[in-house]
Amino acid sequence: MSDSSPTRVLVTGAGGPAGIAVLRSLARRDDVVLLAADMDRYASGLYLVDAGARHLVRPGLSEEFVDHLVGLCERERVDVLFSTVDVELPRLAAERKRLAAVGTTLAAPSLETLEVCLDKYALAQRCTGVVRTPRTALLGETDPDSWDYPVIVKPRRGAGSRGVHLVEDAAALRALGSDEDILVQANLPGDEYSVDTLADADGTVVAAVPRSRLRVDSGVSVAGSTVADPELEETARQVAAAVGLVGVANVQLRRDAEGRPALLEVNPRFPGAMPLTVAAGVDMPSLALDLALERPLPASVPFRELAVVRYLEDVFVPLADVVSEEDAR
Amino acid sequence: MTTALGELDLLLTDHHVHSTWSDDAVSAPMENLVAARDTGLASIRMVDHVRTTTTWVPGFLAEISALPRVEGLEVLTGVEAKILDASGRLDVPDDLVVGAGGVDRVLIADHQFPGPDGPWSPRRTLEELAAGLPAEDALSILVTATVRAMERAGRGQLAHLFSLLPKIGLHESELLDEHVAAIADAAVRTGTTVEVNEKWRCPGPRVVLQLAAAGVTLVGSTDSHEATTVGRYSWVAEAASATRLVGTR
Ligand SMILES: [Zn+2]
Ligand SMILES: [Zn+2]
Repeated sequence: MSDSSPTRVLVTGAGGPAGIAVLRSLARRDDVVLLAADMDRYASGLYLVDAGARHLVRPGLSEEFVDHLVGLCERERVDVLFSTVDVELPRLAAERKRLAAVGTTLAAPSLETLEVCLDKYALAQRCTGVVRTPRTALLGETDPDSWDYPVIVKPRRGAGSRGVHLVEDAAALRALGSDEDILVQANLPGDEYSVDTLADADGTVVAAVPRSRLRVDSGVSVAGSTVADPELEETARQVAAAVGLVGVANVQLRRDAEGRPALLEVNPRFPGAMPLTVAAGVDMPSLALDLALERPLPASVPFRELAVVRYLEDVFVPLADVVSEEDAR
Repeated sequence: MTTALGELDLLLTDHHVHSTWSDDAVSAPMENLVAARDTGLASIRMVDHVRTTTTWVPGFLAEISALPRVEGLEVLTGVEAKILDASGRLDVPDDLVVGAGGVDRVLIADHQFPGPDGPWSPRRTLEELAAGLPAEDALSILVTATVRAMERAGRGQLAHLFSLLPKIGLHESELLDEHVAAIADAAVRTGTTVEVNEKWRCPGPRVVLQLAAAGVTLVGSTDSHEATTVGRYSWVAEAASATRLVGTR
């Protein structure tokens, strides 16, 4: 594209906090035209962009999802695509070439990085010996009597807090059976941190911003603060290098019994709490856009310590702009 | 449903309105119809995107023909397809019926550059230009492909003509008068309408005036994907007032 024409950026998952965070960040750039997409026509982030820039997409798991999104990117002349939906990411990363063929750059880590991050067992194996990791095993392959209780049990694949719970003793663990898709992990006693991490095209970490979660409501951080702690930052850097990160990921760490940070998991996408990181001085969506456009990034971007509280906000829309359900097919 | 456009002011037309039949639009045909009525349009063309593999056109047409009639509002249909290559081949299903019993028009779209060997991405096109393809030749390939597409379409409508140019680092001012004349001649000869497109703000005033002067039928187009934008013009309004100056309405 010529330097004068604005960059057209499509953000999917416009109904989620991560999608809204990316839209809000990029809306501040005057060289960007924003488009928003979601599978739900009432997704609030759709209403952050011009009416002509709102699009529906098929569910990320549906067969035709990629075909339809590639078609949308082609027709809308999308320069850069940000997907903020977990299930979309690996499918899109696998079709990066098809997107490139219609002129669209996918702003997401490589498929290889996504795959290792989305398989928590593979991630633990990859990072053991690189950073501290809690003891991790597959449910079917471990002796319940060999653990200190309670232990954490969670799905091997998938994101968020779904299916994560504490198991109190060996009998309860044994009762869970031998599902190969369930992980058993030592339950670390310390505080938990999310480190928003951005690596440039060479894999050099430009910023690693630890956030503490002061209160969690339905898995969403409602209050938190950035934490200047070189050990947390360094741990996230090492994890980013181990998974070959290019772009943005959210590294989850927890302190062990000695107070040292250990790796829990990596969410290879924008977190919903990204606005705090942006406010603290590191505008990761904007930097990720520059990365996708092959523009040079600063060697490092500092952040300051800052706290956030959140509240629900009403968005008022003229009645005519929200059509009743029976009018919709 | 008739296709007679007559001499409607292009601001009273919106001949490029997408619905949920397209993969990505937000509003259903009924919502678009209501919006067209409420903005006082005299003519709306309901359009959705097709490719060679599309099978839903009969269902789309059935839904449009089942819409309630609105007094004073003409409802037309179309499918939008990209020009695939320099020969003007269109990305439409083989069994597409245009005219009686089928869609009223095929919207001819420059979604990609129609290269000799198939669609070129913007990056590929920029690379070819950087590697020595003269801009004038690139424009000639595009114009020739567009003319051939008009001949192939039967009843066509040029969708967002030249919207591709900024994406490949070119500008309408680089078009020769012969380029515009070739489009105008073919449009008149084949009965192809040309839209003045609000969303992509194209074609620009020079091309619009030259087409109007040649007797090409111009229609308004929002390329709307949401009912709230149907028939709403600001940029096109200026183009429309310019065409009135040359007496074409
Ligand atoms: Zn189009
Ligand atoms: Zn269109």
